[in-house]
Amino acid sequence: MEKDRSFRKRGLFLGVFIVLMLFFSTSLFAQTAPKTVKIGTVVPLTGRMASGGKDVKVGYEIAIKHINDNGGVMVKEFGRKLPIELIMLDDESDPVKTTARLDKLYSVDKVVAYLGGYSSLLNVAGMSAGEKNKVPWVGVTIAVEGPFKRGFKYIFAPFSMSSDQVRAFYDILDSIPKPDRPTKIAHFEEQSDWGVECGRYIREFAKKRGYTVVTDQKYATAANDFSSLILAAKSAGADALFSVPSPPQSMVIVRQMKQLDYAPKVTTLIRGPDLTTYWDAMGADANYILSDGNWHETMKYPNNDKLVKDFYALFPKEKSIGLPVGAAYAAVQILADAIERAGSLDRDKIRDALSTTNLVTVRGPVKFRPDGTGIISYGLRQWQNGKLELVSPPEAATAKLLIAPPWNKR
Amino acid sequence: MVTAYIQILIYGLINGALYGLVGLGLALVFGVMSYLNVAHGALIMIASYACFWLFHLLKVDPFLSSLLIVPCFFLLGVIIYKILFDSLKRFPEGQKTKNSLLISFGLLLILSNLVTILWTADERAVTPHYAGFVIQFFGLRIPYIGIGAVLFAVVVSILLDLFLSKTYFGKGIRAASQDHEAAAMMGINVGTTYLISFGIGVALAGIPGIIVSLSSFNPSLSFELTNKALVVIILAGVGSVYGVLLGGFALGLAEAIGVLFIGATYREVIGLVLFVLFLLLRPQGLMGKRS
Amino acid sequence: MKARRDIKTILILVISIVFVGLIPLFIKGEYVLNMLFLLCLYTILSHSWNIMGGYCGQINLGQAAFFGIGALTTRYIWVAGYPFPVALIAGSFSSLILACLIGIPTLRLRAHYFAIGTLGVAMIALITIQNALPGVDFLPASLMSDYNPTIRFYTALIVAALTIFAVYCINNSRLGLAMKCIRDDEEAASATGINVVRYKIITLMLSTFFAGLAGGLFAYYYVSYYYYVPFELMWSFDPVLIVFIGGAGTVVGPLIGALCYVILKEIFAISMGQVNVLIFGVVFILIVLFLPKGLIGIKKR
Repeated sequence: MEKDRSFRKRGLFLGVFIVLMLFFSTSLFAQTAPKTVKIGTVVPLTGRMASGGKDVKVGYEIAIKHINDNGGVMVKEFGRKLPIELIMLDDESDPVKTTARLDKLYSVDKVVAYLGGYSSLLNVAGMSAGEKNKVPWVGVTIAVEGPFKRGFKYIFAPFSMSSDQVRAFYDILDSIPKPDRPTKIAHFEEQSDWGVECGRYIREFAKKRGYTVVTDQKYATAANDFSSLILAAKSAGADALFSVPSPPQSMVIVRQMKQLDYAPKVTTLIRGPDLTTYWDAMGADANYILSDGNWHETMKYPNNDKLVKDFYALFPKEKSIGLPVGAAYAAVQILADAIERAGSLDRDKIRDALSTTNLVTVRGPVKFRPDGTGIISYGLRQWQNGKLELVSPPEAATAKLLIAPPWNKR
Repeated sequence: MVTAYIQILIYGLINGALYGLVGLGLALVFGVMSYLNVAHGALIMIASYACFWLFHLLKVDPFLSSLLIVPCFFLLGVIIYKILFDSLKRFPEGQKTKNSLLISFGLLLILSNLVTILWTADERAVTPHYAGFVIQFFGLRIPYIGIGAVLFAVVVSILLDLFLSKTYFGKGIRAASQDHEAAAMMGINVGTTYLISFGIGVALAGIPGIIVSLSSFNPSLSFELTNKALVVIILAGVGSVYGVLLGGFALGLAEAIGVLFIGATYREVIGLVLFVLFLLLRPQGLMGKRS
Repeated sequence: MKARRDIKTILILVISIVFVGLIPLFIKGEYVLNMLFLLCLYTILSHSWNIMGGYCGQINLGQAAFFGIGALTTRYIWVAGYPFPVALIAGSFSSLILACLIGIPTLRLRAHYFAIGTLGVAMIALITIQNALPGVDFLPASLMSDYNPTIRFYTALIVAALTIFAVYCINNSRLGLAMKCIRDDEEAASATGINVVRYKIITLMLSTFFAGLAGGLFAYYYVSYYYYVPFELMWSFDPVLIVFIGGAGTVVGPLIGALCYVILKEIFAISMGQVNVLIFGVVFILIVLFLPKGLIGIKKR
């Protein structure tokens, strides 16, 4: 009797399970109604890349809302404006799933273009899906140049590349008057394609511009202790530091620099300190750290004020806006502009239009090189008393660069 | 030069204290009831959030917040055990390990995603005013937080060992971990023993959570912490509290020594290689007895 | 009685393989192929784990290393210009070699020490590859231009069918019997004259061979990925979950597990947005609580 009941319970459970599976599986192959411009994107909403994924998502959504509030994009082929329909899926920060779900967007939803995800790990998977399916792909938050040197035709990245980032670092060193100007560079090289590429540029530019790289320390992508690197930089007397650490690593580096009393005049950590939560986490120790300046809330380009206003209306509790938000917004602007200029929803025509882009986005003017990387103006931001201030390039700067004093004088 | 070497070893020791603490709760639960609770890393991560919010909203010092977090986590452990793990206790040992692994994997997914949805996946850290302070002697700089971590690891291990060897419940737990049937015959309520051990196991996730929050954390840290804990408990064996602590220190020091010889790139690899070699030489773990 | 059950099992297996093979003829598109490919990939990988973990009771968490080395070697040889089948076989033999170098020594470890010793091996492989090969493994333009997902899917299907057949044969052989004896009681098995070490080595070789095949298929299907992606620890953990959910030590169990794991996850991800993993976790726990012996347990009741 007892056995019987549990059997029935199991049967019931299985039944419900199968019905649910059938119910949802219809959504796998369901087609949505036409009359829109369908754009697909796979963004990490869960998993280890989710913090950046959420910023990219918000940037896309606000941009598309703005475009659709004006009636959408004008498609000459149909003689009228069509609203953009963004189909966004999660990939759990797993590139295998990125590929699978971009294939879904291509073959089931028939999207006309892809928007990128977040991080180079996932964007590399996205780029190959774009190239394989011949769907134009516009993505941000990928800084490594290597993947763009493969002769791909359908990929466009209006984002700062590693050479932009290293150049901005040296530009800012050049702008410091002589007695204060650092000359000895320390580089912490992450063993990723991006880190290695930055290392190459750091050494190349140092030679050209009269700096010496006094220590070039390598670390693994999963590293969580930087004491040996910091001690090496300190004993070599390096007075400027460049690295591209992940968010947790950028926190550990700064904390250990303080503990080991190492304070170079200029500390540039691309990526990690971009976080809006960086100041909350680090407090005043974050002061003087330079980071990526791809986009900034105060930029005076058209629509930027509207983006900032709408962001704070959506998230009244936030104190600042993550960098990927603006970059993602610009990506949508570029894609919408290309669709209008193509006058068609044909993927190859959109691709051709993208390659001749010449547009002023919320983050400034954008053009593309033949390899798909963006030609953009680019500078750095610095943490100054709880705010990320744009300190370069000079024409857009909101504050002057501050030279970091030793730890005991702060 | 020598100072720099010793300085790196000191950081190795501090990391080791964390590794030991991370392994402790997992080792207790696995040793007593053969439950492999891979959600342990997620529970540590949640403790980091608890510490973070207590610090930011109520300005509670992170080390003091352990007084609140540890009892709350004990309760949390009891609740989790009652809902998810109680039904497993009647299974034979192998299946207990297997099914607890599956259930706790589901729990790991749920917890890390729940946190992502509630508080976003942004990286966070707790930075009290003494975060960068150090004690200096002979040119060495020993951070306050590191001293706190090592002290915490030692004190918690001593308390846990005293509890297991001196109190009635503790003796019951030890008896159950050696032989449930014999323990049941001696009049020990195995069900209650399991409940309490699981509670303590989860409470022990609270301590490393605090240390982790002083460095930096995010929801996906759960997976890394669980892996680390697995390595530590195997290095140390599950039989002894001090063994786990020692295993943690050994791993931290091995990594630091590796850095001195080969550089930071292969730091973790060196720790792991030593660990595998060690396992091959002593398949029963650091403190285990040869069977 | 046993013979009739065997015929039933064979029938179920053949019908399901043919059924999966027919799907792309009726539902067109990259996506369907992608899902079915993943199904085959996970079936092979899960069965490779099942041989060691399900039949022989040795929990091997180093599968990611063997999967990864299979992918690395296959890709390298294939891109160098050799035909893919040659590359695939070479890839799985590279897994075998790795198993001899690293796996066999770890067989000295007992029970959960073996599990975590092998996890250590997987971690070492992952970090080493991340450091040594930090870049992206791109498919050269020449191979990319004739990229055809249909051929890739059917290749995977054939390999999956062969794997299932191999596991079926093992299940009914003396080897399988010896493996089950070792799983149930190593000392008793040794006492009845089974050479435990020898059988463990054979099992490990078989298991890693199929893991290498799965890795090779990964390298065949995916256009470009970071070198370390096939070494990620999820390739160790996913097959464990799939086998346990489906039913360990059975021929059909891992199939059901893979179906559930791949398709269910996909359905959730497509329809639920950010909460998909959370809901999947809840469903996962419910399955384990209600069906502690795996999904195959439904039939047995």
